[in-house]
Amino acid sequence: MKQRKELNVNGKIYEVFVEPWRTLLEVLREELHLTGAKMGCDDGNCGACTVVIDGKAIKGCLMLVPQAKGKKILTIEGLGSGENLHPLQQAFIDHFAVQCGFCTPGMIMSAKALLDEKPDATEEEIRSGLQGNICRCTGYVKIVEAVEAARDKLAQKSNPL
Amino acid sequence: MSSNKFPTPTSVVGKSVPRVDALDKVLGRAQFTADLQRNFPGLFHIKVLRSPHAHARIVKLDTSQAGKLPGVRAVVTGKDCPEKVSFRAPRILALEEVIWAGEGVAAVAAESPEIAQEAIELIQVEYEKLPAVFDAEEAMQPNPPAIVDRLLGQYRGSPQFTPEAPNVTGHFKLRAGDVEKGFAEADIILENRFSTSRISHSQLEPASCIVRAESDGGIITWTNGQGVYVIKGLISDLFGLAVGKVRVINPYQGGSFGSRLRHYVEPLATLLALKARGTVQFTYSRQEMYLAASTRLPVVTYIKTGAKKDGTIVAQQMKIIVDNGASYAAIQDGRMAASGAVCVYRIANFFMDSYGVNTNTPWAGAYRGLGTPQVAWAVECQMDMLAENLGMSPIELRRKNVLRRGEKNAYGEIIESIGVMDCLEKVAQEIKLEEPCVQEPGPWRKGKGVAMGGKQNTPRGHSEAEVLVHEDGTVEVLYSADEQGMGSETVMAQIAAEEFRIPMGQVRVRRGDTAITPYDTFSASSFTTYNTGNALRMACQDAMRQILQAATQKMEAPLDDLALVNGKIIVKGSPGMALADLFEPFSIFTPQGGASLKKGTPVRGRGVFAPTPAIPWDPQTGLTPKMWNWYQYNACGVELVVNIETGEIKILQGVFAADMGFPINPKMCEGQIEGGFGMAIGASIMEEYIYENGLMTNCSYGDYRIPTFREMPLRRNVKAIFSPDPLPEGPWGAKGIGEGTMIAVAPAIANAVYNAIGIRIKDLPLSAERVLRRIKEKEKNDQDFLHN
Repeated sequence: MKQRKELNVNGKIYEVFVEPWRTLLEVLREELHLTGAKMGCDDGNCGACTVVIDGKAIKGCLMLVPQAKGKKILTIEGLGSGENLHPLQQAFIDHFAVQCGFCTPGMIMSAKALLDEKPDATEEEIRSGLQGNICRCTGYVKIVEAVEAARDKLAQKSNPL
Repeated sequence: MSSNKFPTPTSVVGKSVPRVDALDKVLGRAQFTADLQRNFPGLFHIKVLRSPHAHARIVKLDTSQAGKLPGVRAVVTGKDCPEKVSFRAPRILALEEVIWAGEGVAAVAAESPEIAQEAIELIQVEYEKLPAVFDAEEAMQPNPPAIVDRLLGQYRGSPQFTPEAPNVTGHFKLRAGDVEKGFAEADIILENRFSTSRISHSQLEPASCIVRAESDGGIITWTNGQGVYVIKGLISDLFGLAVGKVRVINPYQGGSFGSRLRHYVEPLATLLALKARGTVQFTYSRQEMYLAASTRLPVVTYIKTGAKKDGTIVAQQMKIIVDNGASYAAIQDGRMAASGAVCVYRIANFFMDSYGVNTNTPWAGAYRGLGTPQVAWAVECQMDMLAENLGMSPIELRRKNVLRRGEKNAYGEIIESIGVMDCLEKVAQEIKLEEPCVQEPGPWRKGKGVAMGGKQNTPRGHSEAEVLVHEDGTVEVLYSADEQGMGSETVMAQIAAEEFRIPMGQVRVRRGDTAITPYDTFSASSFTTYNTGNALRMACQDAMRQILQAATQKMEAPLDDLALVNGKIIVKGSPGMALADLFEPFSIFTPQGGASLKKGTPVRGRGVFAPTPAIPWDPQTGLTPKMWNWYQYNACGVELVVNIETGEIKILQGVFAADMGFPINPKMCEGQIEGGFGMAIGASIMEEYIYENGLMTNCSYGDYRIPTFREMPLRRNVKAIFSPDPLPEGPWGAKGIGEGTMIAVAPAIANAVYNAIGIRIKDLPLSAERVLRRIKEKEKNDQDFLHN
């Protein structure tokens, strides 16, 4: 049976009317039309659907809508705009960390949660932190490079001296 | 061939300008096929019932219960499919027999994916199991354990299909020189057998399409399949639809690596859209991507090489068996795979047979290099083994036998552009191949290895491109090749910006819509920069000619004195004029259809490029002065450690050099190298289909592991080197890069494993299980030797 649910996504409260067994990913894409999170496998292995929930990187296909109750959900659409890109988004462009782009939103959201938690993450920590996100195009080299560049940029911002 | 007489330093070709699609992609705004579903309320969703058996007769198939389920709009079986079969696609649904575990038997379109799934589960099928054949070498025998499908050869009209070898789909012969004489002169002869596993492209975005049946009997398809015009042709042909009523649109494609060159979702979706008289979407699950999408051709290679003491190869004999799986759509005779053995070394006496064979396994086809990496796997391991037998360095042996520019390969082609030896020299130097590894205590053993390879470019395709030059100097580029991630949109924008001497921001690319963009084949064989890029240069030059022609009157100067640079008409010895001033406003007092340029009506330039055709080879010898077009080359060096207690391999360092011709966008070329290297690590040490009675049992990302961040070396230990030998007829000397980047990696890894632990592994992948088994075998043999 469909139920009324509230979701806090990108700072806005949405009311949706869905079956409680719907995944967060399905509801983001089909009800809220936020299609930045992608479905690559639907079993939690590829990471293309990663969103940030209360500061943690979560795979949208592994969370049911009722589990998102009362939580703050951030998707790629809420991270930055064309005029005001998040340093991770800018770094992914500058360092050619994007190829087909299907993994990109999930990859950036995982990296965002990682850098929020560990602003000085080392290359090893970035590799461990992002290992749940698969990319078949880049061999990950430029993604690591981009995350490191964003990390340094964010450190500059928080410590302008 | 630059059209511009006044080159300026503002050029963008050869520079690492940012990707034109990157902003949309980092914002999550780039539209992939499944993202468009929200635009179609009332969309029907497709699910397919698939066979669990590798080979069985369908005794009974009852879909009546499924059809009665509320919310089900249409149900189809093999009987509803068009009789016509195309080699561009697998059979839509099985008819009398299923021929691989995973083949579709029936399909449903319903109001939701859940209803469609429920309906699928209501379908009753009774199978009678038939003998199946999974091994290509068994399948190719005259009396095989099973005939995959009696109709396969006939469907394809394969001239080499014979009832005596009913699973052999084709045979290519190369007979160069006198191989018996060559072997008689050899001081050493080395014979080996190598094999590769079946692997999956595993591109991140599953196959997906939306098909809308229009009221007039036509259809519109949005798909991530490759080649909009090829799909248009396929669909109109299969279903007998008027070509002019079929429109195909191509959003961004989430990777392909060859997988999307065969069209496995569009035909079934069209069938159901027509039957449902509505709009349907069909998106493969990840499991279906393993069971019923394309896979990489497993190849068995027998190789016998004869060499003189000084390392000169005097004869080579090869038998190459390419397993097409249960394919209606494969490459028939193994000729493409076999090309990997011809394009690198000078082998005057070469006797080679390649075969395409069907088996009752998931169907196979193009996969980043189309068989050449599988054959190069054998050749490059063999070269290291030969070098060791001769007491030579692997570099010296390759240097001795490598083809040089201007020489003929075994087909009889003269090689115009070959940078392969430079690639290898640079890689060997970078990885310090001559310096032995320093071993540390503990179970990890270090080793280094190198290999090289080449990939032919098939002289296939017809590419058209158009440019619209607007009065304000902005340019729209229209083309139909694919953008599966390799950066074709960026390369095309760079080419237009270069030709018109305008900043990148003034170019907008429009791609992949058969109603808007001009004809192209698809992006394959690494030819998009070369084919479509050349067409686009011609389109730019065509528009430029029209503009300058219009300027001759206004400027009162001859055509030859004029040039268009960054929105300005420049004439020798004058300040010039703005492009915009050439465009006149419409007025009822002037001829509105006249020859002058009019405001709001862009100048449309058009270019067409097709590669020089191949010259048919002698079917008895395979000899021809032009079998392929050009070759991209590469070399790889790796340093790795092998754990002698677990068999695990860790890649510590990877150096990769590529001869891709002139790099139009160096950072994107690096991206291809790093991506190919990463993908090849998967193919080399991790990936394989595991079956039970022909049914794949590891069909998920969780069980079929592909490389993550953890399997790659640290970023500072991955190095991409360019060693281009520019191709005169490529745009600015460009060739291509996408496929070559996997070829040398697997043999470099195997050569490094041998260097580390003294064990030669001839079958891919070098999984921990296989490596450990071989370590244990060696330990046992060594002990037996000591005891005896």
